[in-house]
Amino acid sequence: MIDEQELVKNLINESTRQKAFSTLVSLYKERLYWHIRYIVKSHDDADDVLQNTFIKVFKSISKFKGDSKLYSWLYRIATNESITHINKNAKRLQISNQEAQDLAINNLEADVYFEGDDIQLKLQTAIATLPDKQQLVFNMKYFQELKYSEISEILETSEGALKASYHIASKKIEAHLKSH
Amino acid sequence: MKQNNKNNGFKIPKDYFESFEDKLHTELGLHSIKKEAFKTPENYLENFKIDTSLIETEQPKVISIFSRRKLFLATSIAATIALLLTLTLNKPSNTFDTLENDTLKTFVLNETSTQDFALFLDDVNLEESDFLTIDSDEFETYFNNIDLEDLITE
Repeated sequence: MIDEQELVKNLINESTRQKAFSTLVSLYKERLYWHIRYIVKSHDDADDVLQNTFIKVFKSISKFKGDSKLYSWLYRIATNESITHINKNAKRLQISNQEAQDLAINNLEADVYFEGDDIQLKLQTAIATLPDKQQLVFNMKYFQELKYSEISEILETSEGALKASYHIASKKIEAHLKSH
Repeated sequence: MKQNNKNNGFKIPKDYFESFEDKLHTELGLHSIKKEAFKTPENYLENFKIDTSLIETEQPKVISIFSRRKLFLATSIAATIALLLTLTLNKPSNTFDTLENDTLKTFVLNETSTQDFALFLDDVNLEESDFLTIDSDEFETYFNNIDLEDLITE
């Protein structure tokens, strides 16, 4: 078990930074990848965002004050980078953020790294209709199976509000699946 | 919240909250579709690495601002600004207070005529009170004291 405080200390210390950073990447690359992938949908975009996330972490590790847990700080950076990526794509294509998300879902059908069937595509379409925060909560709970306490730390939202948000999101998805 | 619910007489089935989500998903039919649809290239995560040496040495390309054309443009702009500043800031402020007496004297003697001064006078409005009242005795005394030789000399 790696001590988080020790890891942060080694990341801040220039002489131990390289090794500590490799450890950090090994520890969190998979979790962050899937977190990002559920937001941006395509593997190529997820790869870009994952790279950017770790680069940002490396550059700003000295700013990490330890007020929150390391994993929640990493997840927040990954979330922000994913949203920034979607916004950039939307700007580049001169479309709205919602249209950029719809486009990402439409592209899934032809994506070699998506092996979902019709119902899974419909599930992704249904998720894309949710407000941004509900999408995040749903993905983190349903796919990543994070605990409410962990999501609460990452999104800085009370567990009660998250439970309500997840429940509402699930109901909306159910309604969408039934009507389509 | 938990403390408020203590000893209120209400009970919940064992592990109710733990199994709540499972039941919700079953009820909503979400369980049946929860299988991994997203894939990654083979060994993508195993091989994922970040080259930190690239992050540190990454230097933005330096573009010289002193190309000949730009230098000429910059010099022209600087010269124009300097000229404008010189003309606006160093302009001497001519006020009546700063005028030298000798300059004024020279101007009055050489550049003006009596007619110029007459233009400023409005004889219609002239009144007796505008002139000094000189006592005739004082005038006579003054006149008697004038040295004629001095006048001749001048």
